[in-house]
Amino acid sequence: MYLALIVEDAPEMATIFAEILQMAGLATEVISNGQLAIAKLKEIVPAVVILDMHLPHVSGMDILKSIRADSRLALTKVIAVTADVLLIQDLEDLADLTLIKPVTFDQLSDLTTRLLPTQTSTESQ
Amino acid sequence: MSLRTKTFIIIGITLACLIAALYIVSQTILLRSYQQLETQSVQGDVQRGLNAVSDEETVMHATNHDWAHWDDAFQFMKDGNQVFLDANTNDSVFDTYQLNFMVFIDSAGKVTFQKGFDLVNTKEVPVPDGLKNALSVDGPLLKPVSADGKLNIDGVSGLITISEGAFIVASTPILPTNLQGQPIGSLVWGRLLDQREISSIASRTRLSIEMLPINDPNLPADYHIAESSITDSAPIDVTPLGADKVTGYTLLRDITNAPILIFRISSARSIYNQGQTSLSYFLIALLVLGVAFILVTLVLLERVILSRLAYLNTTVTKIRTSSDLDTRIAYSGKDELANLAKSINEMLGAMANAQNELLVARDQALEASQFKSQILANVSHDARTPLSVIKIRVEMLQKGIYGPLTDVQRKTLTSVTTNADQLLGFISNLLHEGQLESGKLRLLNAEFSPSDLMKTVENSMTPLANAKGLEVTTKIADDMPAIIYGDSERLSQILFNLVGNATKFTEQGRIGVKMSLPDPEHWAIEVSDTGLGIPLEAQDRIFEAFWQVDGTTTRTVNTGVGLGLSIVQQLTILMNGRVTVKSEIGSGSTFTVTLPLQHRTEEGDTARVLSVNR
Repeated sequence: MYLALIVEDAPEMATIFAEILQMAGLATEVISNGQLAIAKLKEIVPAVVILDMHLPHVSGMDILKSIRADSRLALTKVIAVTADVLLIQDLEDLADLTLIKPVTFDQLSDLTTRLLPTQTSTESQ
Repeated sequence: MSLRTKTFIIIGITLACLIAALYIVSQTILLRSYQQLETQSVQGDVQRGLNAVSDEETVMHATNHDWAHWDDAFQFMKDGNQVFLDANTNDSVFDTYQLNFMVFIDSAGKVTFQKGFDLVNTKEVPVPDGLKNALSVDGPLLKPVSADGKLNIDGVSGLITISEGAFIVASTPILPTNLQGQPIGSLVWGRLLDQREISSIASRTRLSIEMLPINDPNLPADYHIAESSITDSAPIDVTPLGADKVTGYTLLRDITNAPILIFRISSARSIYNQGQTSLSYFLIALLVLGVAFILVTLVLLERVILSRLAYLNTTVTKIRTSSDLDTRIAYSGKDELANLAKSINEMLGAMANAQNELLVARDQALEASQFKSQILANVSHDARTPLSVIKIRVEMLQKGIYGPLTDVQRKTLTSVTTNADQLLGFISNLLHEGQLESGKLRLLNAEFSPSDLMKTVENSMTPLANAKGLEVTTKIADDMPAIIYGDSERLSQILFNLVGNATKFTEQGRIGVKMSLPDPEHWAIEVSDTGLGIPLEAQDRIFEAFWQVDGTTTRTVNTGVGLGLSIVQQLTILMNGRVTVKSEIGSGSTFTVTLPLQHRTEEGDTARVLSVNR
């Protein structure tokens, strides 16, 4: 089973992400804090990271850069979520996919089929 | 033209005029004076020449008079003695007195003795034939008459012309030495006024003298002209003969006072030419002085004014280019230029103060604007998250994820979606207005499907329109490409605003949305309605922010601050397109957004952006 790490400070939003991804058949883990997310990413290798760019203390961009700098996470897909259109150009090179808030149910439920190979197994724990 | 050149020209023209005026005046006055002097001098010469001729006559007459009132001569007339003749009529007497002829003639007109003499060859010759006619008994030579009409025993002298030429003659009645009794006859002497005699007079007087008979058929033209100019009141005519020679003419009269010769004196125009030379020197001196004056004036002007003006100009230019309002112009003295420099310095000070105040005000305004933009961004961001949650939850409910819904529930959820969309659109507009205002907005160039865009608009807007009883029709032209490039989120924002606007101002009928290719380089979105229409005079202003047709921002027709069309226009312009409106009161409006068909940018968009619909 693929693991999705959801980094989102708004609890309601995180819940929805988790709910929809679970419906799509992924295991989910929610982290609401940037520092915790960076620590967590040292332990696990998720197939997908849903990353809110607007986080307190540590910015989503910092997390994204640390993921891209970590060779262990080379296969990890990052879906950036932001309401700030000014960020989109900067995200182009780093994120696999950028969702602009507000996101819709269909977009989220499609994610796995868009990004993850259905046949191969993953290194998820 | 520089001040230097202007000054030079002004001084130059003034001086040239002055010199010209001085030259003309001096030429008129001085040359006329010189000419008068010349005339006077020539007149004097003529008079001198005349006096010389007259002296000849007088000298001859004095001797002639002496001889005629002489007892020996009287006796000779009586007896014709040879002794007298031998002593007094030999060749040496003729040579001494320079006589060409000597005639002793008695009172009856009979010649007692006569002798002619050639003064050139010093030998006796016959008496001129023409003399006979001049020696008539009652003529002026033999019967000289005094003023009271009586016989003048002192005789007469003067000029006569006979066929042989003009002669100086002297004639005196012959009387005894004591002058008693009647004259026994007349003694007549004469000397030919030939070239030799004229040269003699000329050399004595140092004048250039010519005399020509007045009836000479070959008389030169200048003599003719002079003759006609001479009158009794102006007996001497002076005429310049060319640039180097001036001539004076007068008439010589015979003893009967009839004009017989034209007497001409010619002399170099030394006086007049000296005048002209002086005038030339004067002019040259004037020119030299004028040039010196110009040079001195320019040098002084340069030192006192122009160099300082140039310095002022350079300094002011430097201040302008460097925008350094703290620079000051150095000046000394108390004249107008120093005052100008002082005033400029004061102005610079005032400008620096004003600029500082402006900078402070600008910084404050910028700060306020940034603060406003930040608040706008924060508000819209913070509002989007809960709205997203609401929308997704409703979507999940509508999809039956949480169980089947009743019709009323479904309807209610549609209403929730519609209102959430409106709120989201409102927030988007606020955010984008802030971004547009601060110039922060950047456009994406990603591929998208026009039909997806149309579907999004249709799905979102139809419920709103249907709620008002309006029909929404959409059409995509057959030649529209399936995929084009652009910023689909901004495009959907444009469409939401246009359709929302149409819905807002249409009470019944339909709203049409159409996509087409007006030409191979452009694609167009057309939103038409059957609404109120926009008055012609308002059509330009509807694109201004916070403006509605009735000029108020009251929400009588529908929700929304008047930002929609302003955002449509600004976004369209950002996309290098344009938005136009065609409208008539009562028959609806059509907004057309024309955009260039974009191609994928060079660098490409590596991350595909799911531009998410409201």
